[in-house]
Amino acid sequence: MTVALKIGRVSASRNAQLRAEAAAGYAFVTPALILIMVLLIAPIVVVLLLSLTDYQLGALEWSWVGLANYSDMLGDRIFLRSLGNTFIYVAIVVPGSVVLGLLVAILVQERTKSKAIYQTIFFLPVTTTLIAMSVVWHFLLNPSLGPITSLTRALGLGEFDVFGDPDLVLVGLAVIGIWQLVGFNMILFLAGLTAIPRDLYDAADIDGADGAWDRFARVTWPMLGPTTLFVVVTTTITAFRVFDTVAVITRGNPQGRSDVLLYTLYKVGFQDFNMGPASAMTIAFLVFVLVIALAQAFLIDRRTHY
Amino acid sequence: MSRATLRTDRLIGSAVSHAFLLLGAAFILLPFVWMLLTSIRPASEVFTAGFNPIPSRLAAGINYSEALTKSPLLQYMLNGVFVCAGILIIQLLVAIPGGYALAKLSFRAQPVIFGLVLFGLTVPVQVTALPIYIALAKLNLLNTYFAIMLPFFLSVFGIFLFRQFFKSFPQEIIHAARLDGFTELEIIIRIITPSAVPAIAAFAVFSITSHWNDLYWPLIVTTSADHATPPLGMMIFRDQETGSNYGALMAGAAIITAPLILVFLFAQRQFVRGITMTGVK
Amino acid sequence: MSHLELTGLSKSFGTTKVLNDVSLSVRNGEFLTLVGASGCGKSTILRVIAGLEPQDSGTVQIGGRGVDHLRPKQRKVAMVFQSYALYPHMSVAENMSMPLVMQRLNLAERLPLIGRLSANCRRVMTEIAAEVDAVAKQLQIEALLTRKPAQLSGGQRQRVALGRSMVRHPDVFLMDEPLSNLDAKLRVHMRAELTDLHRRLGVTFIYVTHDQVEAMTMSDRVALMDEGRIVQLGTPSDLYHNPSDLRVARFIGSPQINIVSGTTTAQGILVGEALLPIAVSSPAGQVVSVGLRPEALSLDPVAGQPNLAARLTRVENLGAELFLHFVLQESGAPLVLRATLQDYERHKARLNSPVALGVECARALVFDAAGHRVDQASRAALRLEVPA
Repeated sequence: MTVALKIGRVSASRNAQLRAEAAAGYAFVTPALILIMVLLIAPIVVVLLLSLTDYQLGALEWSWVGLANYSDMLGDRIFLRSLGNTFIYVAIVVPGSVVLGLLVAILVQERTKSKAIYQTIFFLPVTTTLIAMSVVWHFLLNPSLGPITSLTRALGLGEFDVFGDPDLVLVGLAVIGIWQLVGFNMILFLAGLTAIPRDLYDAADIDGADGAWDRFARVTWPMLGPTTLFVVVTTTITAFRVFDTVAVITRGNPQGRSDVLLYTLYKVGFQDFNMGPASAMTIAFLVFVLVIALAQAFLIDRRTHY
Repeated sequence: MSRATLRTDRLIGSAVSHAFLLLGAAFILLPFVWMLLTSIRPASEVFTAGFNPIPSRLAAGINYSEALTKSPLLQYMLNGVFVCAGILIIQLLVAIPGGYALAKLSFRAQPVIFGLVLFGLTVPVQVTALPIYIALAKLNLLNTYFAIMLPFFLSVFGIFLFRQFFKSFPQEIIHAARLDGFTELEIIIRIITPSAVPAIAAFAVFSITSHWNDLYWPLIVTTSADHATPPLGMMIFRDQETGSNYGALMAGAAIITAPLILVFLFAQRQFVRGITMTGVK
Repeated sequence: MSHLELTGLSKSFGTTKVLNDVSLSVRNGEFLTLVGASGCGKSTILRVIAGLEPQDSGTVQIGGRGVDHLRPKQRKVAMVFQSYALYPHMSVAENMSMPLVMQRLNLAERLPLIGRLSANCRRVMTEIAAEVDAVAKQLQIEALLTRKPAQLSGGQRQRVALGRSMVRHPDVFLMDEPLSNLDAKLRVHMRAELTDLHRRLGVTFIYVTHDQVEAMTMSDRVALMDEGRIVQLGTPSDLYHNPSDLRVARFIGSPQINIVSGTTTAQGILVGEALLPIAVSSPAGQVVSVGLRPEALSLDPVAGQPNLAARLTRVENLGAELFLHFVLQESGAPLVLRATLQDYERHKARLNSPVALGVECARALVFDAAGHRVDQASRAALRLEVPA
């Protein structure tokens, strides 16, 4: 038998199973790939291009304007204000919902009989339609006929118009944000807590770290490191995308003090149809989200190396 | 330390923790309770009730029937069911074969495509909203079910999830199937999919809750009540009422939130698993 | 019929060569075992034969016909996997009928529900059910047919996996460590059952294991593999008594062969002060390894027999026989000796102090520094088995 003949056969054999696999592979990813191109990649490219134009939906003419949209954006009071508001909102919601979520998780973990019922209650807001519950919250905090006002009045604390007070409006929205996220974070922390081996607590007991605080500081907190990082990042991204409560309750009022990034983007893009500036804001929004994602990847990387 | 003080210490600790949890639970439940109370309260009492929780007489019938007749609530719910089902079916049809190909088949473009999927995981839907909206407007497709569903036909998260799930499926079973003469499509239909039922259930929960509750996109592409999903319907309802009939409004809110809460209460474990998968994002 | 011929198989994963120019010829109806430590490439050979993984070069022929261009299902081979690879959501009967369903029904008829509408499909399904029943009877699993794999014990799953491979009457059975997930007792039982099955079916078996006992007890021939090559191919007896390489000597046999180091001289091999009169092909003054099976040592050397001074350290009592663990007085090298209970009782008193162990030089195996066999006694025997 000649060598050449053998080699010919071999290449055929390489192809039999591999070729079938590759053909099936391409066939199976084609729908996904088409959708990725049409619904993900192409739109991102188009947004990038639009951000360099003065295109308005329905307008017949448009022109390239270079980076004008970006420089306008950086000088735009409304954009900067909504960015600032979003950061304030994030700065309240993230620590609030993470710390409360952790606290609730630790307390719930220690309960035996009532554990399931508490878990159900705290998780309830996660499952509900935020829009509907925003309407309820709006009513609860209504300054003239809401029950909470009646309560504060009865207690002699006076009246609070939470959503009408420029200084309180973001706090009010953040309370709803925390209300919705605590249960979610609790579940993630509970998963992290159950993953901590019981042996570590026994060892800590024997080593003398038997108080509640010592157990938390020496075992729970260090072991929850990766979970905490994860919870902080997901909560940050969720909080950064706040929209529903603003759209239903305040619409950016009073005095624009509750304008947040996505709501401003929505107004500029889909109510005024100023596609150029809206695209520039979209890109800014994408950059923020990618930065958070990259920070997470970087931090997780760092953590695995110590 | 004596035994007695140890006991009292523990009792105090337990009391403090219960107190905190009860307070937290009250905070969480407040809007639900108030929603239900107001939905059965007569309209005249809503404004004078204050913090008094107990309605003097039941007006549930009036409020709920008003919610259902004054606004097309059932239509909204039906729209929601239709949109969620459509989205979920397409997502599964795309993500299961895609996930299998990325997990178990080798072909040259595989790493690139998986890279695109990973990139897609970080891009929120608001980023692609503008161009998709413009395209739908140009094609005269605004105010259709298709418009509401389109951006979500692609779930990179679904592809990623199924890819991870299939990755841990035993390679030997797939080898056995190939030896037995299964085609790759039959492996997906007859072997991989039946084994993925838990993952499919979890993904379904995740997909249905996020699209049942989504406001941003339906608000952009629909202006009419005909295709409005429950959250958008809720907004329309609220704007109609302009605060005059809180009883009916709360009844409406209760009706819209009820389906998911019921599913959650009856299938808690699956539900929690489905929702917390968002975490992977 | 179906002899199997592998010619020059090579395969690499990245920079690691898992198969390095492997050629092997398996006779029709033979039970051939590939044995070696994990990662030696033995399982890869099976998957290449089955067509599940492509080789980089070389050819596979089954029954004189090249199969390299064929898909796995077209090669008429069946495979039993280490994990059994049963379809978890299908009953035992469905698992076992799958290969026949795939063979005998076309794509349309295989569709769930719709396929059942065709009369041909129904007829074929009845046939298949009958064949599955017959095989299930042979394996005594007919009572399990409606169960799911999760409801079966390890041994039962093993039988189902066997059954699934039997229904299709393959030309070659490929078995990838099929017994390694069973407990020790069941493993011994299944060894007998598999050899029995092989005799009944009369079909070629290629069996992969890391367990030398399985290789020794079940096979017609054994191929010992290391680092992607076949080190030695021969009958179990060849591999035990006449290993061509130190790696084979070490791998085969339990307890492991004793290795003592020595130096070649003109008269024989010097181990410490003892001279073993063994003729070797190496020049004098070389360091060599002398392999002594536990039964090549004795407690009472006959007159003039070379002996090694050793001290007893431990006794392992297996009931019918004993393993006596010694260390050499001079070098401290460990030695194991196989003794009967009577032998041990007879010499027991003496064993408190160092003794001389007799060495049966005709059974000694000598290897050079590279691990090649160098004693003259083996030459003839080794030459015999090189295929013509």
